[in-house]
Amino acid sequence: MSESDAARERALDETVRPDIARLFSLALSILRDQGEAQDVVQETLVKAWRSWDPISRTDHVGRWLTRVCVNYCISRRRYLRSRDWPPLQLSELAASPGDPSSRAETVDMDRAYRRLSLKQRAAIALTYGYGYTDNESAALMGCRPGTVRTHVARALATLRKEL
Amino acid sequence: MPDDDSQLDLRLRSFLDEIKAQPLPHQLADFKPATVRSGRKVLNVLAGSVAAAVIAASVTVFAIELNGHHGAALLFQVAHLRQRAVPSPHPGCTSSQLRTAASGHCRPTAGRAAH
Repeated sequence: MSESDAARERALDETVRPDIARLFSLALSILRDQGEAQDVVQETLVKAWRSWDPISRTDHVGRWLTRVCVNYCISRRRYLRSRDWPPLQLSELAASPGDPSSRAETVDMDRAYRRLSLKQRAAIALTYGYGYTDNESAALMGCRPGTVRTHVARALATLRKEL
Repeated sequence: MPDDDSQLDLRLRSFLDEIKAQPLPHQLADFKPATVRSGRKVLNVLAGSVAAAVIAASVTVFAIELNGHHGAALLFQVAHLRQRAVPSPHPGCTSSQLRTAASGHCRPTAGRAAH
């Protein structure tokens, strides 16, 4: 590894390392699969490494990482399909050992939550889980605020029906 | 309905909080993007070299084949042109008549007309 690469890795490590846990739980709350969430975060970090020069000059590295991570999560089905990998639906059914499924209430919520589309989960996770406003969530998801509101409303309707 | 909504809101938030409390997998904690990059770079260089070798081989084979065909076609063309360039002493004669004429049995049309 060259000296510039080492310096870049140090800078990336210092800036990005504190965000990894947040990115992982965001990806996990959208995908509901530990392995997939891990893959998405790794892809996000690789992308950050590759385009480190332009993004390191901005003040919004955290936001950039969140946007990339959310987009990878949303397009995960298409990504897996393009590589002839098993559809996400199948891997979702196999509950990961670390899932928060100790209580019946959580199990019910988890089952209902898995009925939502990835975009609906992303909208719910960003607004409910991380407290982003509709506008911020829209910027992170690459859509309009109205679309985020629609996703949230439909997601809540589905959850209400399922629970 | 508002009670239902607030209850759902509460359950959803606590569910998402539980997800947030999940421990970070150690593979992710120790992940180094630089290693992925270098591996991929080597693979790209390898794939590029193989592709360049295949293209060079194809071009060489094509050039050899083209040269062979071109040589044969040229020889054929030269022979054909040479055959056409030789003026026939008897324009009305066919090639078989000319061959007969060479053996002394030809009666050229021009001669016949004069006769």
